[in-house]
Amino acid sequence: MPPKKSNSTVYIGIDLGTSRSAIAASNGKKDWVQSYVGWPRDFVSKKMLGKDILFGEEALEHRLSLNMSRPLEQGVIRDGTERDEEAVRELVHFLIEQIKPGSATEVFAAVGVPAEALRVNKIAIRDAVKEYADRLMVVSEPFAVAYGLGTLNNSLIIDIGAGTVDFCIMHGTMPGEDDQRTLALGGDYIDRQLLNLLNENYPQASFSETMVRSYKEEKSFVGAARSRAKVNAPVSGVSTTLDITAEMQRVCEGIVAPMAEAVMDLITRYEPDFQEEVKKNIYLAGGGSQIRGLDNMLADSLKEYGAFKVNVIDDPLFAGAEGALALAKEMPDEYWEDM
Amino acid sequence: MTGEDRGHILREVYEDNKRVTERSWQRRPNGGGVPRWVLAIGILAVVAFGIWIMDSGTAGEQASTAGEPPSVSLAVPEDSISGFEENTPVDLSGLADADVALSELFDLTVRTVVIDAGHGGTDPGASGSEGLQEKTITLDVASRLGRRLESEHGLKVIQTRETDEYLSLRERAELTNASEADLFVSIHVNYFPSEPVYALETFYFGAEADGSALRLAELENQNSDYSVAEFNRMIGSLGNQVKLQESRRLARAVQSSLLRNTRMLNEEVDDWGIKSAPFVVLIGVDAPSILAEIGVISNEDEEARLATPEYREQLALFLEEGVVNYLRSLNR
Repeated sequence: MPPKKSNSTVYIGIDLGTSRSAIAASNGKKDWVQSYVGWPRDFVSKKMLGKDILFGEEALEHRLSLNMSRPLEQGVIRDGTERDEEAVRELVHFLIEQIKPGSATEVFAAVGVPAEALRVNKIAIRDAVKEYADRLMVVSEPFAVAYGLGTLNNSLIIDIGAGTVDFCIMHGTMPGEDDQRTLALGGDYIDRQLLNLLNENYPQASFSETMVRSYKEEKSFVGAARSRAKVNAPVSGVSTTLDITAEMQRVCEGIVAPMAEAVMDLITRYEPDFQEEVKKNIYLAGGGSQIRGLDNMLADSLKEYGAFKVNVIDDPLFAGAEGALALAKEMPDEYWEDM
Repeated sequence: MTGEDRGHILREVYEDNKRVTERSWQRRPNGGGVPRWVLAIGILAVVAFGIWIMDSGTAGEQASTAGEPPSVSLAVPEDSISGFEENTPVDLSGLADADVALSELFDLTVRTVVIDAGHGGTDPGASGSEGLQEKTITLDVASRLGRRLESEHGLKVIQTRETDEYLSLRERAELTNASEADLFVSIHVNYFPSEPVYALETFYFGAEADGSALRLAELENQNSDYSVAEFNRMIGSLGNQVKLQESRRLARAVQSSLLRNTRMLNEEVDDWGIKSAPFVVLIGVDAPSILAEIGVISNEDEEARLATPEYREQLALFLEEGVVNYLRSLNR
């Protein structure tokens, strides 16, 4: 049945990320949440929490009483993992609720997902998301970012997520397999490396994954340190300040060389006439774009191949969702009708 | 970027999503609304290809991208395959009475064969119009084949599953590698709901594949459970020419036997030959490995046959013959 195009239609863009998920709606509302879903472990937890399901920060806070899911681990939903699929469903539901569509409103959703998820499991992603949207289109995350920026031609988007780093070169069409690369060297990889290194160098201290993740989010950098990276951690039970500048630098710099390689791999296969333009239109997106100095270091490491300009996008948290929203709004009615 | 260009891109997004919804419906045979023209063109293309292969006389091998005509002399190493071009059926009944086990007779080292009944548990695979499920057929044929290889040829047989349970592709591959298998045979049934196609095809692991094989691989790879990094590592360790060549030979032997024998029962069966395709389950296994599509469950006549124990036993016999032919050829 063709949708009624009236006041009761809302367009939404959703960005489903391994670490963070965001929503932007045509009614002006937007919101984001950490991509965690938790269900109370037992009757006691359920009573204490007063809810059947928790999301994001709240779920993390109560994680000891919950069965947790981070459904897009490594950037994919594993088919057959019902809990992960349910988690994605509920996460989408939660996000849509935040922008308050109202019961009579039709929801037209464009959803950006990590490139690997799209590759491995398009069907599962669609199934998980379509429950709460009336019409749905799924695209890859870097493409959604490019769409929002308007950089759909002769540009290269690097989406540094928690699960993977997705590279997508744009040449005026929807990107195909050859236009994309994925490295399993995302934020989670950095967290693991940092945790190992810190455990090695500070054997008396106790670090958890959550702590290390927050160190990274606050203090990550490459190149010359503008200030020391000082963090707190319990050493034999006593909270102590540690200077982890060297460890942080080493771990973050570890991803630069593989990134440079992927960039050159894509550029060298691009139309020769336009390679120079692409080099000047490289955009860093995703949480990892916030690693201080990464844009300059990446450009420097590629110096011998030409003049590169690496830009960090303005609003990494919402760029994907805003891009997906723009796509949803601009999608012609007849295409929406046919979904 | 001009408005026109953006319009073009939006159309591509729409088309890509439409394709996924159609594939999604295809996986649920009771779902509705798949445009017949999409499936019809796909089926016609595949059937036409199959007919073309039949016309060229022998089971064709497609290991290259679509458009390049298959040529047995180019694609197949000459030393190994020639024995399979003979059309005389191998009669194993006399050998089964021999005092000596075949494995000794042919000086085969005791070999371990892992048989993999496709799908299972929460993953039923494809279903026929009468409700017969792929997972049931594969399990039955797998266990019959296993019995035959064990009792009649003294081979050590391990089944990836012996009950109606779900196993990810990764679990199947790891089980196989842990048991130090010499061969891996995965059994599946095809599904083409729009046309009464009846065909047989056997896949072997290879890096190159044509479009339809890749799409089938994508569908079948959905329960892989491998991470990106692990997958890349496995692909990287693929310089194993021996595994590639042996897989192809095994595929040829099995396809040849299946085809030759089912043709004696039913002339209509199409030979879709052997094809290489990047099935995850074949990549993950160290041993020479194949995936045999032993029938088409969406074909009503075929579904009725597949429901009978007699036919399943026959299929097991044909598969047995193929495997044994391959093993014999190792000693030439």
